[in-house]
Formats: sequence, structure tokens, C-alpha cells
Amino acid sequence: MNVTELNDEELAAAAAREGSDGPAFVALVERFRQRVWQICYRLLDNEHDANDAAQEVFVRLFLNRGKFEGRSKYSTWVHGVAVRTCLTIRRGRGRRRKHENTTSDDSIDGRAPGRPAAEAGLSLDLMQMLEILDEEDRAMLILKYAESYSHEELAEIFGLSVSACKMRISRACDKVQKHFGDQK
Amino acid sequence: MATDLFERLADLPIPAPPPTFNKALHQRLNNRLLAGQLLDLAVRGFGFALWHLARAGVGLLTLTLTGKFEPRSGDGPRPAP
Repeated sequence: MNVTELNDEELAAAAAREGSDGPAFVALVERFRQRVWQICYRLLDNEHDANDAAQEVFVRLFLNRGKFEGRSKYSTWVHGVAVRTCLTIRRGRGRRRKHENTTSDDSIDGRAPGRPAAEAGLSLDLMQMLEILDEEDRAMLILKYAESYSHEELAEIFGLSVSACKMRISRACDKVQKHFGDQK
Repeated sequence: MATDLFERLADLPIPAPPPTFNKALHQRLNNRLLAGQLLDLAVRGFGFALWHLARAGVGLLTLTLTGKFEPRSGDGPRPAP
């Protein structure tokens, strides 16, 4: 069996039949690595956390490889796992930060260690602006505008109806606009 | 304003995944599987030991109270007829 010729769903089924991380699972990792990494980096905005999250996503995919029921596209399922993993990490990070009572300046300094400040520039400001949103709304906005996900895909990933998804994105945009409207 | 602003999110550069990603992933996966199997073994082993100790305890109590203890089949060598 040549795993490169299989589509995502067939490859996932082949990985589910494997007893360990065999050729099908390795092929799945190769196929989704870049996309999962992109989602994790966008949502966590930090190379170290993104690496940790992306690895955790593939570990979860491996451990739950028999649970994919084929009700959605496999790629949507993978992206959903990636988003939920990142949200869990961000919530944990938020709780730790609250516990340590650090200032917001500290959090900006700790972000994106590998990225030069000038390169980060405006995008970093934008990411800071999104911090006023709750975790899910922030993730939805980033996936919608940075990764060009459709409302339908977002609705599946977040387990919402399409109209609820549109409304949350619109409200999140309005919230940012109201909060920073005077400054921009 | 908002839509234009958010569309600039796509301009944020994304670095490539680290070259050691696959190796680190398989290391992590192996560690997770090993931990899971050790936990499974510990839980099952503990359950097995607890079950046998409990049976021995019940047997001792029965013998103390009634003076009789009849081992069930499979509990050890049967007495010669």
C-alpha cells in the first residue's frame, strides 16, 4: 500500500489499524505538520509554545486515531484538535499568569522570542489588541482572517451553527473596534 | 476599519517548524505510550493483588468465625480424596 496515494480519510483509517506509529501515521504527520504548526503558531504567538502544542496535537491524534467517525472531513477534525489544544494551553497560561500576577508588559516581552521586534511591529500590536477578546473569539478571528477559514469550517471546528459563528466574529470585531477605535 | 485591520493578521510571518520536530514528536509519543502502559500495568496489577488479598482476608475471617474454610476450585491444590 502506497500511503501517499491515499486521501486523508483513508490514511486516517489506515493509521487507526496500525498498532503503533507506523507508515500511515508518519504520513499523516508529514501531511498535516505545516498546517497544524501554522494554527498553533497563530494562536499561541510563540515558537516554544507552538512547538509544544503541535507535538501535543499529534500525540492526541495518535491516541484518538480510532475515534474519528468520518462525520466531517479529517482535516477539519485535525484542525479542531489543534484549536482545542491551543485553547487549553492558552487558558493554562492565563491562569498561571494570573497566579503569578505578572504585568502585561512582561507578557509582551516573553512573546515570540525568535522574532525581531521590527519584524513583529504592527502584527504584534494587532495580536495585543486581540487579547481583550475571550479565547474562543480570539481564535475564531485569527483563523478567519489570518488563515482564511470559511464560516462553515469555523462552525464545525468550534461546534457552533454557521449563523452563531458569523455573529460571534462580527461581535468580536465590533468589540475590538470599539475598544481601540479612538486610538487607530 | 475592522476588516482591513484584521486582514493584516495574515501578514504576520510564520517560521518553519523546528527541524527536530519529528524526532521530538516520536520521543514524546513513546514517553506517553510508556507512561500509559506502566499506569495500566500498575492499575491492573494493583487490582489483581487487592482481589487476592481480599479473598485471603475473607477466608481468614470465615475460618475464624466458623472454623471452616472451603477453598473454591482453582484456589490451590485440592485435598486428596
